[in-house]
Amino acid sequence: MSAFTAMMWNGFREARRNRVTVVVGVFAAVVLLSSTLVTEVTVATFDRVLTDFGLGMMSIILVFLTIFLSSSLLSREIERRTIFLVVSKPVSRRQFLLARLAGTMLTLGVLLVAMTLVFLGQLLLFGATITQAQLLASAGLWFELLVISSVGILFSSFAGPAVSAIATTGMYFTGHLTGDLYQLASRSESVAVRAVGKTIYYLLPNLERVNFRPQATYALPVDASTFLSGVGYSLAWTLVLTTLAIFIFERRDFR
Amino acid sequence: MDTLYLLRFVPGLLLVALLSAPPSPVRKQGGGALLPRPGLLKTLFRAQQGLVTDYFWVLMLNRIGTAAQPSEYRDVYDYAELVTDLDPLFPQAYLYGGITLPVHLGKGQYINTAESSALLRKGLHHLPGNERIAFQLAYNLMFFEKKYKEAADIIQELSKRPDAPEWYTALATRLYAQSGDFDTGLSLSMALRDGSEDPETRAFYEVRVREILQERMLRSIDEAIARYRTREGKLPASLPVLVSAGDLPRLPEDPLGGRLFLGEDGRAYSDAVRFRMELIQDERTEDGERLVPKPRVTAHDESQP
Repeated sequence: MSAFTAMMWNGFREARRNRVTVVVGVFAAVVLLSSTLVTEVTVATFDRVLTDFGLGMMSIILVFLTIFLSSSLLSREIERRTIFLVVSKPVSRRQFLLARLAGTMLTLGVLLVAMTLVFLGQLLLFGATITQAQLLASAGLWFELLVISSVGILFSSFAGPAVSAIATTGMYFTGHLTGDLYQLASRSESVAVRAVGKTIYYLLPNLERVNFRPQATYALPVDASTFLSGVGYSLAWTLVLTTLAIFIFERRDFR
Repeated sequence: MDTLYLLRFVPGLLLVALLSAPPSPVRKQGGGALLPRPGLLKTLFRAQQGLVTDYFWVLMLNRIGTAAQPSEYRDVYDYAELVTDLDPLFPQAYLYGGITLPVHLGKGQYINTAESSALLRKGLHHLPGNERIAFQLAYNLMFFEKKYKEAADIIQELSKRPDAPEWYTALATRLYAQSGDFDTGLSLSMALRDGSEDPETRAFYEVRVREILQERMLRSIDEAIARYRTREGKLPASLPVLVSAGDLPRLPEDPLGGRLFLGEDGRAYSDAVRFRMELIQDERTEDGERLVPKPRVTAHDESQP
């Protein structure tokens, strides 16, 4: 097993041992199953309500778990001084950071798959239609979490866990509103406002590119080019953010 | 130590039990449910738009289920507004809100109809192709708002759909006639009559043309009656009186071949049809017999207004 794989598995095991992850996993299962209660008080829109509650709950729970895991990923190692054990080994800081990110994404991936299975089981139980958009929304969520994790790791590379968590939460909300910022700026009569608005838009990740939950609500088809361009966009942002995180992390003095 | 904990815990628990109460909904100034602003929800929960919309949709359905008073039905409008602001393409929210909002107060009086129509108009604006919302709005315009021309225009649009039932056009022509827009009703009926290859359809629209012409003629007689009544302070004893009084040049001929008469309500009728070409209430006697217009019976001292 290579050093990278070992560190990634270690990250996964650590997250699994972490009570927060386990509690979140159990909570997600309970919440997903309890959304069936919602169908008791609705009419004519069972498929829609089940889809929105299932995907929405998955998104909220996993996003906050991502922020929790990623924002303390590096800072905790530094605070506990366990980083010295790693950097004293023949492992580069780059490898360490990427392996920690991979471990987090593996944890989130396993949870996402488990939640999706519960969600699909629920749809089958109620005789609701399983659509392509629901599956793509679930897959798109993983790429959204990837970008959020990369943001969290970037902040974690130079700031403490609290600051990282707050900044990553801010980026999560901003990432979903950048599209609105672009639209608002485009409608402005001022050239300066248009330029500033569009510059900010291009400088921030647009998380709506991989948010296919609105399409899942109405069972609208998501074409391959839309999905793949969203995936490519997320991977590109991950590359940018992790490169920045590595750049800072490699130059950081841990004393 | 244990006693100290108990001394704190038990009074605390008792206080919680004492102060606990069922939730009381906060109301807006001037009435109505106090709900979060849609803009705030859209910004805060942009990534979970569907979840938040459905949460308020479920609350809206709950409101519909528990409403008993007209004001409680009015609250449904606030929820429907919020849900449709969050997701303007949610057809069920418009439809369920639009159907449940109007409350019958008795004697043909309805409340919350303006809110119902406003919601359906909003729905038609965002979902112009939704037949059910369009039809429900046309229904509101016919029965509550008496805006027959607008209702006719909507029904006429719906009748162009390939799966539209045939009676849509028939209803549209009737509504045009009721709105006083006889020219549109006539031209539509004539076009349908002349363009149809089916003898039954041709016959139907031939009769419809005559019905519209008859209604136009009856309305002109109604105007003459109104002029006579304003001048003389009473209703004419019969329709020929209008001719002798100079309010009508002559008594027109009924396009459907019937005999014209002055009804009990002071309006002109023809015995060729049971009712005039308008939306009518299904009024019945205590024995269940349907009320139909009857000729006005006048004695010398009964011709008073």
